[in-house]
Amino acid sequence: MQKGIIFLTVVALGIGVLVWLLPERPESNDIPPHILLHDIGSETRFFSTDHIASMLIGRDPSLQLIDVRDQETYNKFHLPGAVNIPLKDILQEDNIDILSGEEQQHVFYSNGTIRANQAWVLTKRIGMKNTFVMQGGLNHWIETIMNPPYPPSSAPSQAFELYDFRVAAGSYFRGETAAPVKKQQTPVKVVPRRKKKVTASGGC
Amino acid sequence: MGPLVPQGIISPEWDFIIALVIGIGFGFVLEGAGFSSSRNLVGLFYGYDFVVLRVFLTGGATAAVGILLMDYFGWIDIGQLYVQPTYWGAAIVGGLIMGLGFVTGGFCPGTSFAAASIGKMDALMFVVGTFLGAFLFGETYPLIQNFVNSGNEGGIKIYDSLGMSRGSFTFLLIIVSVGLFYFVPVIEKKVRKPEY
Amino acid sequence: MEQGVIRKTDPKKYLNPYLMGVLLGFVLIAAFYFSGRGPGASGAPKRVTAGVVAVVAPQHADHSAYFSKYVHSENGPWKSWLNFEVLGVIIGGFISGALAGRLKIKVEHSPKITSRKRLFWALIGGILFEYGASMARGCTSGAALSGIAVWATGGYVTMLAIFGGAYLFAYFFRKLWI
Repeated sequence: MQKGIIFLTVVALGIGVLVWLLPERPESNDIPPHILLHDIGSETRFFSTDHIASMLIGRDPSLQLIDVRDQETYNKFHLPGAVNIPLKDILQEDNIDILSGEEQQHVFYSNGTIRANQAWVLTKRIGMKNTFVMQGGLNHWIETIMNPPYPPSSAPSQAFELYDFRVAAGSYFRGETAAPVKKQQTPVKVVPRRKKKVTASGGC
Repeated sequence: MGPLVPQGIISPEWDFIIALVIGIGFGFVLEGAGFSSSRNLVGLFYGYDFVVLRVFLTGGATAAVGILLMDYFGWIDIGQLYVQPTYWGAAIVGGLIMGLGFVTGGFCPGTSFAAASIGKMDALMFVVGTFLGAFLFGETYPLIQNFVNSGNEGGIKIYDSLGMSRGSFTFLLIIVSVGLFYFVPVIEKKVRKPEY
Repeated sequence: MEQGVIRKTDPKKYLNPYLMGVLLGFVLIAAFYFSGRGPGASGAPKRVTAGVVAVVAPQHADHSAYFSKYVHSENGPWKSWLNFEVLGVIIGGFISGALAGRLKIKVEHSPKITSRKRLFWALIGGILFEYGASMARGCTSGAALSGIAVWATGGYVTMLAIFGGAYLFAYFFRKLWI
């Protein structure tokens, strides 16, 4: 009996010494490359401008627009309710707090799509789940929502319904953004959401 | 490379089946080790039975060594594992309340489920208590919300907190565990285990 | 000397604690390897309670800052990893108890107290334990055990607080046990 105990003790200590001497692999929170590649290739990150417009009109609380252009252009014009986080500041601690909230969908937009896409890749790389991109950016927003093209007479009836929706949405947003100066003065609500998320996933 | 479900190697639907199987293993170990009896569990606090300490430390050390080895061989990505965030105040006060619950109830939630499954009515009562406790917490949450959510340090690691390397801390864990395994029988011999 | 102690505890009944410890370690490793998380326990009553509140008083659950988090989580309060895991614990415990011939409906209590008293304090203990676990974000399983396995500082702190607290209060409740 004694022998067995001594044997087990030696084994335990041997394992202990082994793990002590093992080299450590650097820890990384990045998501693996093949998953990132897959996500970049898929279209699921895109929100269409029509979808955004209907969410904004419906005042959907799960939508959080993120304007990734610089402060100055943001101040000139931005979509209602959008928060300004310039691309270069995306990975700052406070901004990560905002973006990692899981109860909201964080949709990036810029003038085109490129900068929003860059922001999306940056956040995706560190494992954020709820970040998206507005397809076509503000340029496409202007083309589709603010100045929708009248569909040709041969178009299916859905095209006309979409057109009607866009016209209505356009007039809604013209009303909303008629006084952009006033809009800027309302302080942007910045709520750190990472803490909330952590609570929700609470341990045991 | 693991973890398999978060990495998308196994589809998430399987996660619940895996959870069930892991639970079965967990419940089997808890019951088999004698954790289905509150008499064995509270023995830890009155010095007559240290089975909890033995199983607990052996299990924790085995898991830490296993995960460390799997990391070394590149089988698991430690960065992807869920690490309990550290909220100092909430962890300490919550822990003390749990300690009080332990010596009054004689179980912890996991062991109470295992014990209730073999017909221990005291364990079933404990389980009923956990639901009431959860309800009570939800109702009083607004009062203690600030305290509970204050001082979040995120998923920090004990070896960083102590300024050690991961390997040397794990080595220390094993040394302390083995030392305790040699030490506790000395106490057990002095304290008579109540028979009932 | 170890064997002597085990024999004193219960002759044939329980399995060797070190063997069980190693098995427990494998269960933990499997949980982390497959699901990326450790097993827990207190999270299940928490979610089930949130689910029941949502059924009985949906308005109240929506307004509750705490319950609404679980009610409106991705899969809802019912379809959660921890609920299935705890279901497994019940099944696993039952299998082990059946194999060892320990299935018996009884209230285990010290002869010095009545079974009613034992049940009362078990209820109180359950309430306190779950309350503390909700505060500390995990109990002996989810915080302490799983925390040790991944070197979480929070897990170690919680573990020391639980056992420290139990030793601290043990004296006042000794009449319940010895």
